[in-house]
Amino acid sequence: MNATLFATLVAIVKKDLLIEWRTRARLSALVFFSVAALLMFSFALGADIQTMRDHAGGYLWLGLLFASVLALSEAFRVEAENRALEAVLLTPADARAVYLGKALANALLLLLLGALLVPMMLVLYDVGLDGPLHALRLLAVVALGVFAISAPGTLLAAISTNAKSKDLLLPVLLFPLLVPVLLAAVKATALVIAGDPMGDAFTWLSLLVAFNVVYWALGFLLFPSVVDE
Amino acid sequence: MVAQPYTLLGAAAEVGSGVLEGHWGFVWAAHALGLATLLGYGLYLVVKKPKG
Amino acid sequence: MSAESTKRPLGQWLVLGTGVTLLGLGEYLGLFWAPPEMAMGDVMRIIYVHVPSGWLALVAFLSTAIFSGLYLRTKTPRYDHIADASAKTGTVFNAMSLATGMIWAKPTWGVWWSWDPRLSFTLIMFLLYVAYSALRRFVDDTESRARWAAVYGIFASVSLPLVYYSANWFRSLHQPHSTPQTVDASMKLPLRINAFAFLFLMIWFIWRRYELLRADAAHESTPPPA
Repeated sequence: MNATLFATLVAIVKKDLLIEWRTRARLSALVFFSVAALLMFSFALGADIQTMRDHAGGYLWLGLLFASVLALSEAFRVEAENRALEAVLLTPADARAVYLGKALANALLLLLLGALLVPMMLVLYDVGLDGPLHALRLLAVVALGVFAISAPGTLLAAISTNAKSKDLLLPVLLFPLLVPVLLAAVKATALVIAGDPMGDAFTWLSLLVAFNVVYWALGFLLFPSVVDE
Repeated sequence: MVAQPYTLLGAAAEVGSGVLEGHWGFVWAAHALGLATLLGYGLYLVVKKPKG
Repeated sequence: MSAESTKRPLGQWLVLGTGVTLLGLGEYLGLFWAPPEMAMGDVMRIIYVHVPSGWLALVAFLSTAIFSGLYLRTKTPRYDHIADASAKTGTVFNAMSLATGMIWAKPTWGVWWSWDPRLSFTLIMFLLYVAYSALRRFVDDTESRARWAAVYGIFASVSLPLVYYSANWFRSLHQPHSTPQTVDASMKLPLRINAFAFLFLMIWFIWRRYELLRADAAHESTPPPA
């Protein structure tokens, strides 16, 4: 990675996180939404604590998935409203660096959300963790999952922002692409929570890593075609 | 025979498999569906007019 | 419609004729000539429509990915039309393989549907290419539509290896994919003939669809009479 690409990337990440911080109301609304989603899953499935404990990973990822669609559809709103993306792309900045920056900022935002939701999940669904190392492992799975959501999500958000019915289009495009990611993330989360006697977690984690590699590479290569002037 | 009375396709296939020996009903249903799909799509492409 | 597009090229007739002839032969051999399978009996004759439609759905979607890539490289509208035509034709084959698979699942597994990796990924692949077609409808500008659809067409092709290898990679209820090495010679012949029949029909479908899309595009780019 050359120096200018990296500098642009850092600048974009900083800019996006700064905007996120300055519009904290948006961030807290997102947190509220995902917590409400977690609550609704427990209401919808009845107060059977064993069911909840068994499927805690699934609820966590559904919450994160729905929240990520909202976060991603917001990701290009500021740019779209002020036609600022064109402005950024008119500068000599490499579109690929812009993509990496936006996707990384989105991933960090989702990771923060995930880090807030995990304790909620532990409390609401009565999931026990043994010690900080266990929690760290869980967080690593969350990180792999949200990075795999963010890579295609950011690219598709750039497309849907400029299309008709953008709020409808983004989940239509994104969900089928994310089902394999969701599957692997849920399995890995469940194995980390409940223990992994068969050593299956490695398979699902490798799958998550593979999705990350493929989606980030595709996004990096294809984003210039998305925003082509 | 315990039929699946809930779907038309299920009912049709069960009736078919009852009338014909073994599972031939399912075989006929699958082949008929496949050929009908090919024929239907082909006809659609022949009949379809470009916009304008 | 212009005079040029009303005249069918000879090649198109040949492709269609070959496809229909092979299909007739393959169906006859599959339904009446080939022996019933040892374990499953006659019900395995569904293989002759189920497996070729699954294969050809993958081939059509691969064509979408290839022509999407070519479009992004060259920005030639023709490639965009072929990618679109392939995706729509692949969706039809995909639906057909899902439907015939369900009819096969009922007598062998006792259920119409099972959430098994092979089936799930095939369904996801179907949704991906429905989404591909939806995306095209949500974008008015011809050039942006082509670019974005191409990008999505390449992203969607990530599902192809998942579908293809899922029966072997994951612990799956579905049998590993049938290849000429895993089935008996007497079943191989109708299966092979039908696969080629479907291939020729698929080429005809894509060709015909491509012509329609090209005619649409010509109409779109012609300004309405003042």
